[in-house]
Amino acid sequence: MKTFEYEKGEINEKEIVYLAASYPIAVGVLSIPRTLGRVTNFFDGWVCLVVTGIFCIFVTGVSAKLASYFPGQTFFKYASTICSKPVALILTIYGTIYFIATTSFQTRFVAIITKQYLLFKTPVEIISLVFLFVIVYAVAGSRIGLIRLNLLFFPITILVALFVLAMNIPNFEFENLSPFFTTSWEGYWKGSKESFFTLSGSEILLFYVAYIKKTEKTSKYAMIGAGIPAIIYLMIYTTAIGVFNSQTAGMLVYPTIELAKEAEVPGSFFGRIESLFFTIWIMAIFNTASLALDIVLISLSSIFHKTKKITFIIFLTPIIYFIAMFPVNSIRVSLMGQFLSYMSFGLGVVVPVFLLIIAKVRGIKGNA
Amino acid sequence: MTSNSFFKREKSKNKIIQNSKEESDDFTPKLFLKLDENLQKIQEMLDNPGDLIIRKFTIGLINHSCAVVYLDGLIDKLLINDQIIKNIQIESTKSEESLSDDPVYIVDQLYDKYISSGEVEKTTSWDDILYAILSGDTALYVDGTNQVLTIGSKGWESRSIEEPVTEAVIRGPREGFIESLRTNTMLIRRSIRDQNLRFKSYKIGRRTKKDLVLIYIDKIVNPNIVEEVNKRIQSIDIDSALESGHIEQWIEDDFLSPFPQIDHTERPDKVVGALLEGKVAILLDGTPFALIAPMTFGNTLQSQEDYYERWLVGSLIRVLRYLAAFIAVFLPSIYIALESYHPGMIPSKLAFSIAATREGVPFPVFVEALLMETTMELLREAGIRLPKPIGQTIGIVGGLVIGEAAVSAGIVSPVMVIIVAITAISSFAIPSYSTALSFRIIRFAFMGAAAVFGLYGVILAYIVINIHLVNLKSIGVPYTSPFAPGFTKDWKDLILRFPIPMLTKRPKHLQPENLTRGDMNKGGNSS
Amino acid sequence: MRRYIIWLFLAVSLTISLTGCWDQVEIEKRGFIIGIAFDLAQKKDEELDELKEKTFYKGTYQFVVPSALGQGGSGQGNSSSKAYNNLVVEGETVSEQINRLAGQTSRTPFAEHLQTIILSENVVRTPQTCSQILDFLLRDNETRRGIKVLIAEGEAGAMLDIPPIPENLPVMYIDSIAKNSFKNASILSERKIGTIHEHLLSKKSFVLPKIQRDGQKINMTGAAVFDGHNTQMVGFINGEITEGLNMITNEYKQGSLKIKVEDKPVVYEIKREKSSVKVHVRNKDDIRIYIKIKTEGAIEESFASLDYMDLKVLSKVEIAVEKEIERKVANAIKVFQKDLKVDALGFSGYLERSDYETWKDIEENWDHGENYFSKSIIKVQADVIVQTPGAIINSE
Repeated sequence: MKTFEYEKGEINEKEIVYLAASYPIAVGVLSIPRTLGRVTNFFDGWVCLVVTGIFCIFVTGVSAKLASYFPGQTFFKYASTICSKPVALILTIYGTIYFIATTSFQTRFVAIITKQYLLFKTPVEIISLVFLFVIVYAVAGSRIGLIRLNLLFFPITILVALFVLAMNIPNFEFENLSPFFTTSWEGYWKGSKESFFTLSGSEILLFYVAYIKKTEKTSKYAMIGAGIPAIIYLMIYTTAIGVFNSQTAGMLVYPTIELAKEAEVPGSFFGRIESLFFTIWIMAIFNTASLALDIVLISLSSIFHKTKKITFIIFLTPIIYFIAMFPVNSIRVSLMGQFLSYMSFGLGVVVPVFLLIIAKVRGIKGNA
Repeated sequence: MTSNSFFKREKSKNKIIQNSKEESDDFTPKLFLKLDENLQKIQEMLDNPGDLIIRKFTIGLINHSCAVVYLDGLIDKLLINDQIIKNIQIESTKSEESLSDDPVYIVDQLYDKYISSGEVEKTTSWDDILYAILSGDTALYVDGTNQVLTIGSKGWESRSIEEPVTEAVIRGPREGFIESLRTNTMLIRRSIRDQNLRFKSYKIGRRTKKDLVLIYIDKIVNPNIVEEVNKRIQSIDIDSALESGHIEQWIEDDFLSPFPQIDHTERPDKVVGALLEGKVAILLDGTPFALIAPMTFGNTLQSQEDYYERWLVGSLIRVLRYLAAFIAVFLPSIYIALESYHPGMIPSKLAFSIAATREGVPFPVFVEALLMETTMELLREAGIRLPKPIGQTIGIVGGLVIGEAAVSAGIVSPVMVIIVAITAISSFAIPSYSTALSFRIIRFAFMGAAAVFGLYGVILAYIVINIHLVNLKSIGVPYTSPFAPGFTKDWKDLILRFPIPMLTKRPKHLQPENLTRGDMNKGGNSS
Repeated sequence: MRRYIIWLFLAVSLTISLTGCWDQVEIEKRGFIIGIAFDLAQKKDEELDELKEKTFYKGTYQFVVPSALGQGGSGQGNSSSKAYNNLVVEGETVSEQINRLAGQTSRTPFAEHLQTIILSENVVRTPQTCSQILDFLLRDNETRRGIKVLIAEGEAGAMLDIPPIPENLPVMYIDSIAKNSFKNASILSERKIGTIHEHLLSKKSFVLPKIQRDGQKINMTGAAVFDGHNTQMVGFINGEITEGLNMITNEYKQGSLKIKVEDKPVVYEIKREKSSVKVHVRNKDDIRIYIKIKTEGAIEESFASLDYMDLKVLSKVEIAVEKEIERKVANAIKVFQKDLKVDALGFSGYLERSDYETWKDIEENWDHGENYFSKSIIKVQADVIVQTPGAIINSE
């Protein structure tokens, strides 16, 4: 059946903006004011966010640039062109494991927070199982459809976030922001490390560029996309520090949701909007988790060409579920998150830079 | 997942068509040369129906016999009497050139000189003759030859053009399609006097052999769309297509989806609007409902009236419709979720009043909601079947009395009655009836999700519906365009309706060949 | 074949998940708690010695009876059913109390609509108790951070039993009085536990609104002062001092000031008030705080017949008002500096912002220990503008 041009399963370059923007916005943003508030004084966390933001934009540009030299080629393929096949195999498997773990992590995290704020008694296992089913259903459809879902949900989540921030303006106290620059260098460094995990999203570009046809401007669009979460995080962090001071924010487990608790909608039409806020935020986490699972499928099918998608899905779903249920309490889940952040540094920073340098050195141009 | 099933159907369809063609070749009888034998044959074939009229007469000075055969009721009596029988009888005797002796040439003479009807065909096939007679044409047999003339004489009783019942508007033309295909095509032709307007005819249904017309404007519509629709129509293998709904269900992309993928309407102005956007329309003889393909989600909540009022009014009413759709789908499930799982979200005073009114209600909210909703659906169905005077009363009786009685008996809480009433009213605000139906189905799914998992369930169900929508296509056009992929230029006519002078381009998601409205150049595709 | 396995698996697992709707509680089965009052429990003589060491609290929980709220409406003095139900339980921790509550009522206790907490002064005069009680409320997910806290002079439980005319529930009644801080500046505006949490964490001293019962009436003027260092209440301040406090902390919304001009009372209504605080640090022993208070207002009532159109008369009135304001504020400062010796006026924040180094140095000793707060010099200056004399110039 002849389909339209824009239906051929290819991603338009402009859609990279949404991908790069919606992937990092997931569970990290819910606790970022706390992690920054604990290591920095007053408002100094903004330095960490800005620095890490610029760093992430830069890294996203590098990854996009690398991948755009090889349009239409999966990561495995162009990595094996750059450095030999076994090395590429190792890298792809590393990426696969990372994204499987990310999907499990997001699923588990969603279940924890849902249990805390929405459904108090429902077992965590059931909540994550249902969430996993929805992600699997999303991934079993078309890839283009998944990206369109990102586009559909992204504005809604941003709007709700802005709404919560706007409703908190009466509670905002400027005094909480000063004095400036009182944190030690160690504090800034720790804060930057923490913000990196929540802001990094460049890993997905290495894999998704396989589906873009024209890649001249991919790098530019990706960088624009990576800047959006940084701005959003900065706004959320500022509001959190303004409404609670940095000390209190450091004591709240999920300050962003507490912001929603504090917000008072005029007219008292809604009693409390943090349930609403978190419900809409589930859409953002769904976006991230489904993208992660999709990438697992991309990379697995690039190694095993013959196997059908559905086989992978059947095989992967129990694995993801068990990994998600593996940590026993939420502290262990955070530890898992920390471990993942180191992995993401490797995949998002080390690997693209490494590959780009080797490519330049060996003079491999690709077919851009 | 969805298109696979469609293709499987197509393959099996093709096999059936192949088989039937082989069969029909063997059984075609031949025409006789003698008039009486032919007449006897036709009576045999139709088994002497009471409305088959056979009129034998003679023509010319040589008194050659011939006969006209037609079915009473389908024909225009005046036309047959005046223009066929009278003409031939009189003219053939008056004219200087007498009828030739050879019967074969008589047929030619009749065809060329004596029959003053506009539509005449020569044929030697029983299939054609039968089809003609059964369609309301007249067959003229001449003794001594196996050539038969079929003369167009259709003229049956049909409804007059009146306002469509299901799509009433305040402002706009009050014309609707009727059952006769010719009148319907007339209504379209009257509005588009463009040379590029194309009508492609098909015959659908092995037994009904109804006329189906595919309408599109060449040089505007994307040829891929036309080709695809053409392919799908040709793959229809069906006994009878009584209504365009049958056609719709054959050619739609995903028959499992609750959402309609092909729009239907009774209004010519809507069809014309769609054609000018780059869509195709399908008209079927015997039904006033025309099909419009492709369809996107934006179309489900649009109505022609939005364009006839001014832009501010039109935009606000559209926004109201989106709100109504939201309420119709979500309100009961949000109420169930909030009431059972998250009462903290309801403002304190409201929560207390709800709790107060629910004292003594025996059922949990979900059961109550199901009861009320089911009752509402039953009332609705009943209201459609009842004759008009009783139908209105039932609506009021059902709503007020039964609701009041149920509340006083303590079976349901008054809040639930209010919720169900508002939901019902909102679903009536949706212009397209089939969309309202699909929303009703989805509403129950949401209620179930809310009953099990509260708001979490609602949001997951919403995500699942979105996943389904995003993978749905209508004749190759993604169902969720122009929301996603984001054709921002198409947003001028999506939720808000920008002033008409600003709506200069056709919707880009249909990829028309001619992008600018009013641009008469061929293939002026400015992207 | 594979498809069938997937569908079967999905069907089974989803059906299993339907066996519970674990969280579903019908709304009418919930017992809405809208207010809690904490008192010290009377110790019984027969108790074991080890129990005598622990402090037991008596919690009075106000439950809403929704059916009495519905059609009865407000103002029905003779409605036999109260719209509320107070239950009293004792326990060492708040969660113990709530667990005991579940045994006394047929409804599941539900605290998402909790509005107000009243703590008795007997409870909070012990160090740390305030933060201990608030710990449950901050930690629990059901309770909001917008719950208001009041300190009761005397018994807290008694506050929840006053006849709530014209409201339906005592807690709502108390709430609406608290909202009158808009009109009456001797009432401290409501304090939420979220804000208190901030104070507790930063160890700065703070004030909380006071509530007092006079027979069947409620009096909410004045405030309770807390030492931030060990979260202990150090004393009450009366309405006048609270006015001064409100002026310094920019919470003075509207109020009247009575002054004497030519020996006759004249009342000046303050419509807008703004204070700005500057901290000058020479060294840590010599800290000077300068407060400037600006007000705008009108003449509300005048027993003296003055020509209010004359500029000289106006400036005379303005000077008199300024003196009165300075007196009030200085009085309030004296009470905090000399009597209570805690800085609940927020000066620590100003110092922290303007001179972080010094603050870090003396943070521990600001209002206890060395108590640099009490040693600092605080000067007040008022600047008053009379906008209009009202509708008339003189009544006679």
